[in-house]
Amino acid sequence: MGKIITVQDIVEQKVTLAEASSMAIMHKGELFTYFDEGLTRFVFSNEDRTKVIKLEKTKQDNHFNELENEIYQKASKENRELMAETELVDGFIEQEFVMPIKFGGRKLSMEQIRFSRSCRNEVGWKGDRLVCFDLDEFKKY
Amino acid sequence: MKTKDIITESIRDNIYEFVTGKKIEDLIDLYNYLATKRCMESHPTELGKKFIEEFFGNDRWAGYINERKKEHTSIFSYLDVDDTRNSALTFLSFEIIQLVGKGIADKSAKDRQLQKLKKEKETLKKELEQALDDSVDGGVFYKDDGFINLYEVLIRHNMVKERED
Repeated sequence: MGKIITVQDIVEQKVTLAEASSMAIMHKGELFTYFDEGLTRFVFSNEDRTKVIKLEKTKQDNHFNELENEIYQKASKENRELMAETELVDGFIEQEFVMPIKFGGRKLSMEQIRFSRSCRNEVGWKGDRLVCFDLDEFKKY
Repeated sequence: MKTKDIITESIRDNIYEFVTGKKIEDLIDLYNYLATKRCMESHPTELGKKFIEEFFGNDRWAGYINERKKEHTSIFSYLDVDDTRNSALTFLSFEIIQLVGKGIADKSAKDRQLQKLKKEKETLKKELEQALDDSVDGGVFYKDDGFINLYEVLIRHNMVKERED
């Protein structure tokens, strides 16, 4: 494991996110390590794979994290069931861990494929069901 | 594995499950319906309805068909349906070819079996006739010899078991 830092170190730009991707981030007493990345954010997961934190790649704004939180907060109860539980903590997203289908390797039913495609495949396994983890894409298509 | 590959493989598995136990003529009709303008001009069969519901979802399919009917159409909003349709048609045709191939192979095996039985029957007939001829001497049919000769033929052809007593 590389150097251990805190989210605050990143917020205060003591280390860049690119550098952080090879480090372990200490958050609420847990270590988070690099898991994946999208176009705009890095994703770090804790060791027991129950939680992820998402950090924006650029610190110019916090648009995508705020947007994701807003989508979750405004979602109906029914839609929230189809989303990974999401919270905005100190400007970054803390979200329950779900295994993205690209890593899970499990076959999907046609209903699951339809849901996955409606979320631009930004979905993961929560037990035996799929939920969307990139809420910006939730049922957008 | 890439997400796209997972989805493609899943569609293939789902197609395989769907076609299992279905009649080949119904599957060919389904393929023709989905692959041609028929899907825009007429209602699907019962099998077609089941397929559409499972693979596209009724609402998305109806939207897709309505969009395609327009003179100036853009299926951008229905790329998912279009993509599923293309993949489904590919795998459906593959399964149909497999079933046709299996049908031809089964028929060939059946034909070969029939030929074999026909040949065995002809041989049996010839041997029985020969046994009867061998039992005649000077125009007289000897029943004891006749029985023995016929009995031997029947044993040779496994039609009766040789008695040991």
